Amino acid sequence: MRLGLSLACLAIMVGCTQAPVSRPPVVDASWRANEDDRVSSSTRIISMTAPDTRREKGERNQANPIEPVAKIEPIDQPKGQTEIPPAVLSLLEQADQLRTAGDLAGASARLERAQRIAPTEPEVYFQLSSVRLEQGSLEDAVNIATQGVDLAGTDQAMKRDLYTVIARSKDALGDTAGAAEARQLARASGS
Amino acid sequence: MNRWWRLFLKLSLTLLVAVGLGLVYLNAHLSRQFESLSWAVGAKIYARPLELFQGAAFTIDQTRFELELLNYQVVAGRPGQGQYQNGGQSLWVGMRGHEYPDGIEPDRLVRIDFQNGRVSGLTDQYSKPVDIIRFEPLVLAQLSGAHADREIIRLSDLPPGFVDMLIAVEDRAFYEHAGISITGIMRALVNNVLAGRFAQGGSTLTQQLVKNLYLTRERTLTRKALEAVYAMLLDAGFSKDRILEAYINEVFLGQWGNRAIHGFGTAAQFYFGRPLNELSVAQQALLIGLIKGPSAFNPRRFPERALERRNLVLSLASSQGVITENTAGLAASSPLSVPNRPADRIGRFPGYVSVVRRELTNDYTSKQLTAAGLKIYTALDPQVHRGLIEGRKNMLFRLKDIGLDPSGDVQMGALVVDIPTGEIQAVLAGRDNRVGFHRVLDARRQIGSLIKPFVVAAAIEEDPRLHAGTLVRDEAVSIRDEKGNVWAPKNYDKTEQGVVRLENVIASSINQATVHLALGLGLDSILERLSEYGIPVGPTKPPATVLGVPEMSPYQVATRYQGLLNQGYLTPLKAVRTVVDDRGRVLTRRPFQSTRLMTARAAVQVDHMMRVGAKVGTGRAFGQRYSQVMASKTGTTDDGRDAWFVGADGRRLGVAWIGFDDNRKAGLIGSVAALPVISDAFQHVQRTHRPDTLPEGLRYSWLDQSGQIVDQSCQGAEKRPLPIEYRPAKPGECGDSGSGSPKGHWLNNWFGG
Repeated sequence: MRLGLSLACLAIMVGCTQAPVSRPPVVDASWRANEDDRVSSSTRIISMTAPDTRREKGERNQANPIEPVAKIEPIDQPKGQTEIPPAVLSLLEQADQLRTAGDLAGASARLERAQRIAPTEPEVYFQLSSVRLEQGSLEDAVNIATQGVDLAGTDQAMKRDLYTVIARSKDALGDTAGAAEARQLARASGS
Repeated sequence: MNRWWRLFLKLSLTLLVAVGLGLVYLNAHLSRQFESLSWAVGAKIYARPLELFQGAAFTIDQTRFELELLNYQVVAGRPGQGQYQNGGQSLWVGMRGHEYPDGIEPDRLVRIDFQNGRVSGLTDQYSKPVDIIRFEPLVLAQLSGAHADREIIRLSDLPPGFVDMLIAVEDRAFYEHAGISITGIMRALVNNVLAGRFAQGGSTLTQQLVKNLYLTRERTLTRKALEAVYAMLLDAGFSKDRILEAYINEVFLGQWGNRAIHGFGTAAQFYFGRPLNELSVAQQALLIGLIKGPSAFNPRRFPERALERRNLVLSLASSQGVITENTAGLAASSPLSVPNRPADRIGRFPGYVSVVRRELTNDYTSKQLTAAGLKIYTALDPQVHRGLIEGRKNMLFRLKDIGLDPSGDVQMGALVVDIPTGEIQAVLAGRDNRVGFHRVLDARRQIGSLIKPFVVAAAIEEDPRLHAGTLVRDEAVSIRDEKGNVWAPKNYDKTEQGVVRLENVIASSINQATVHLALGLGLDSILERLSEYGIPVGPTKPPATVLGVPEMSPYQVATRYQGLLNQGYLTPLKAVRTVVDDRGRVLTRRPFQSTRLMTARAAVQVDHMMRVGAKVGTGRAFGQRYSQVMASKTGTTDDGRDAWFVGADGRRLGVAWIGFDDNRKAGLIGSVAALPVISDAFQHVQRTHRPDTLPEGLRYSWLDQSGQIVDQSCQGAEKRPLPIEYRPAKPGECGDSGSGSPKGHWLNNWFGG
């Protein structure tokens, strides 16, 4: 009964302000807890109604964003795109020229210089991950693009571009499932 | 007769062949040594270059400090290269051109405007906006080799007229003679005979070079003869320019402790702290005057003699038409202008240099590092280094407050890391600059409460419903292991609050609640995650692990916290950016990499809990000192054997450890002993707020003191990132606080009973 109540609470995401207090069973793991320990390791047996962000081992380095369960109006969204400082723009341009000329190491050096100036600018991570993809450093490409997604905030177009880099890198890695998932996220990120 | 004659011929021939072969061998030997001259230079290690652009968070004071480190000279008028003009809120700087591995920075005149602690404008001499400028990096050290500490210069880099002045004073016939000068030798001979002893050399530049390179200092006739032979061989084998260049880089110009000053480039830095091509005629004349006797005319010890000698050089130069009488007169009336000590404003960098060497040991041999003329570009930030040095000084001074001898053997290690790039900006390996045991790299110490943020992160990853307001029991806890040993940890202040919010487990560093948290989620799973985070849990996995039994070096601690404070993205730490060889070719480039340490969701929530720690918790002496939003964690182990502190702003992360090398009781406290070191490390840099952007899966809500989600208008409501699955409170919806027992989101009651 109480279990059901708790689950219901969680299901509607109200934060379960108060569940009636009782002493949960003492569960043994490799050690024995004292009688006084009102703690429990019974977490495991509860099926999660909240979306599970846990990842299996081996999946740790992969993008696995969480989809919101319900559309709730954002109450304090992080600030949107800010203007890129001219110094960074200039470095991005230089990097672009070098990349076109086939000097990927040079392009990478310019982008890392830009990153030092603007370490939270997702565009830098997009460019850097694209260069890593071209360099054949595929895992780096995935990781840097994933980091860019976290920095992109509400910039849907940027997220789409980043997911596209992830998809292409995963294709090249032979991870077709991962690539498909990234493509879907790219589409979900809007036009 | 005939027979004797033949024998004589044979002998002569043999002798001739022998001498010829000898000469050939000598020549080959000499040439080889001479050719390899430019190679025997120890690797030079550079700091990060100062980069300025519109909007850069850099004040005019900080810029001036850096310009002084680089020995730019203040001038009243239009600045030349290596000079700057001060103008209230702006600086005019004659930037030195230089080559950085990824491009050339031209020498040019720039105007930098400052406003509100930032660069507000950057223009060139034609008032055209400039996107970005990069100053030449400070030289941190030169790894010692045979010819350590040498500033190699090319003939083309010499100031105009320098060679003429040198030749006028030392060897008028340099471009005409064949390595030795007969007139010079004759003159010396006559003088020596008159004096009855060996008093005068009459050496050409070539002979002086030979003497410096290959021969001992004794003054015998054999040596003199050998010197002449060598000089002629060298003159025959190499151009005058090659010989002159070698001379200019080789000539002995001073001694400082066990360091010999060779060459004009090195001497210019040693005596004036500036490159040779920026020296005035008077300063150049002083250096040329030193050739005759570096110790006798040492301007720091014998300023009058040095001045006299300098003015003699000037008058010699003017009498031979190398400089005008007017120039010579003006220069002769100028003061010596030799600063007291070699430029040494922020000390030396042995701790950092060791990290650089360690990074490069796999790729370079010791010989390559000390003799191949490599250039190593690093991320050392002079402003951070300066702060860290001051922090160390403060810390040692304060030791007496806790009854420890500041001059005793309390040790420390500290480093500061740029969070987004993983670049190491400063390192102190011990309480002083002696190079020995490197505590940042090699000391393995119990990390104590520094583990708590990782325990909480593991708990959040284990159960994503946890958040800052989740209630955790803070009561006595004891655990009996398989052997029957009971472990009953206490809180640091021996009190218990019954129940605490999860964020206080970190912010107030509460031991019992940490254990309850770990037990509640399953100790094994928590320990496994800790191990995945790179915390050395060890095979026996004692429960006390969650209170910080694992031993780590400050460097290792910094690697884990970098990932935690970087939204869960781990970037390998590095001091070295690039290594180039003596021709400017890039040998090593260490590209930016990033991997997942933990979910951004867990990392960012823990990050916010550490912000509470800096604001009102154990790190408040750090957080309240600055107006920016900071994050911190303290750590103290049993009997105060180790004091730890981790502090961060929006950009940098500092880790400090204090304790005894032999791990004896010290009575130290993290927040007292280690905190000030890191706090001071931030005092000369422009601090930024910890970032407030949230990754997917989190959004800001408000929590009241009992951990309930409430409206922002409610009393005591605090903004925290919460999992997006939690519905924010409706406007005006407040918790029913004051109704006795704490309500809210209980860790171990979700599961009901």
